[in-house]
Amino acid sequence: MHGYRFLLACAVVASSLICNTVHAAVPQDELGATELRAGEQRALQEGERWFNLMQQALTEYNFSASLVHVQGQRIEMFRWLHGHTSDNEQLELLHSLNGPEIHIIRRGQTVSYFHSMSSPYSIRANTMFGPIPTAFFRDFSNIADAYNAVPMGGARIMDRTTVHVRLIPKDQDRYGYSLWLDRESGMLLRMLTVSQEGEPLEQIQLTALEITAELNSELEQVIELNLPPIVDDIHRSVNVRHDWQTNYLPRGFELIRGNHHRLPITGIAADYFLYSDGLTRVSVYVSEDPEAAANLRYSGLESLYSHSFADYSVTVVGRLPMATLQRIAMSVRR
Amino acid sequence: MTEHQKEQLSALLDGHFDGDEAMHELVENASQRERWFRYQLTGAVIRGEATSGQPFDISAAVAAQIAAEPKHAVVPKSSWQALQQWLQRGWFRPAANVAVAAGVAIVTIVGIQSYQPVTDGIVAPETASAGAVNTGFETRPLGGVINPVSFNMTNSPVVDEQDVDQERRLLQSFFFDHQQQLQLSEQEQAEAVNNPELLEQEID
Repeated sequence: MHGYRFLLACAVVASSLICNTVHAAVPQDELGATELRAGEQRALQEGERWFNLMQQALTEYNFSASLVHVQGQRIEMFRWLHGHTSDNEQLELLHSLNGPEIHIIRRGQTVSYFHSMSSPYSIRANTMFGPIPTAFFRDFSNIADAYNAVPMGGARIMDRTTVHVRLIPKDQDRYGYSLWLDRESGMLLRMLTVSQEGEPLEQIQLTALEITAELNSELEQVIELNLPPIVDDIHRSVNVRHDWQTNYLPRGFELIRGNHHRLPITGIAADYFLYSDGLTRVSVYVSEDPEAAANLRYSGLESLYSHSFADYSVTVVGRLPMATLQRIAMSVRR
Repeated sequence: MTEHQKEQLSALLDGHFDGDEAMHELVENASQRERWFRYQLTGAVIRGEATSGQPFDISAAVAAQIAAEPKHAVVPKSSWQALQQWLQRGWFRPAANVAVAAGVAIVTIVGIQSYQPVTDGIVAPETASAGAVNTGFETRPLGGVINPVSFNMTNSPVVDEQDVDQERRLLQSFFFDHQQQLQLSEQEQAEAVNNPELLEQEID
């Protein structure tokens, strides 16, 4: 927690210094609060600009990349291709190279998931649901309520000069992110998800990247591919049964989905609420089924907290620290 | 169990098998189930993940689920086959189908857990528009969010193995559903952007 503030302060001071080089005569200790704030503003604007450059690179370039995704003891490797057809439709492919074979294929607004051990299906979406957060493919304004983007200097990644941009949550109740963006193209070369204590929770590192003018010929074959049908979202049309009050939600979280449905495996019926701060999302399940009545804790990158009240139980799942999940769960009232 | 079957099982564990029938055959065979369990355990021990007293064998429960699964065949086989053919036409494939241990942890929890779609009894399946798939799809969280041996259940004084199983089932149920809802919310969002009137209705 202190680490963040310290680093933010450093960034502000550093950028103030850079911005104030024209007023080189002003000694550092005489920098007024207004100048510091102006420096801070410039840093944040610069961070936002870099975030949007990354978003453009991820959605507009034709590229072929390899990446590794490290989470705890597990290392996964993917091949990742992206491009545009002559009709300006986006094509994208993510292929796992370790373990079970997974293909995620996107053609325009159709994202298909192929897993070697289950039936393939498609989702209508603008982004793949893969290791890179979907928020990175959208404009910074979507996460601006909850995060600041702060440029922190540079580093050499993949033999390239990069800008290190931190996504620092405005409240210390969720995870932060570090991005290393190619100074020339804005392309994301490395990403780190960090806990409030500054511990890395997951890392993504590109190991190869080729940006081309033309669409990758392998990707061209996606145009012809017969994709599985779009799933029918039957949950969506069923309203929640009770007007539960979630009395605590961290800053910037908004309800993006609510319904009543049965869970897979157990068949537990629950009222369901999905909240998002634009970057991370949290599911809240409220069930009156006695089978759901358990006090479970699971810590990981995705964590789970459940609490049984007298006649209902609340389960909260998401990429948030346990304390935040707990606070949300305990705030749900009939 | 024949050598061929062993090879099949190994391939299946590595995720290099796409045939549902092969899957059924393998899982139905009790001696294979035992071997399956041992392969998993070996992998876990190699990775230092196994702890004693953890009931590892979920294959019996899985077999029951697979048996109960309706042959809904909602998805045309052709798309997977098309992909396979396409893959064989010069897609880069990793040199070897490496070791059994590699993908096992993921397979155990997110791979084998086939489950049947649960009908709410609220929406009749017939209301599903033609050509669309029921929501009984399985999401495959990349990275397998649930590690079977790292449960942190300090607040639940569990002594009974059955209770452990039940808690694991609950965890899986919530994690699977969470993944599924996340993907469906992407779809909901995409459709809302395409059709703003729909969004208005949702909010009402």
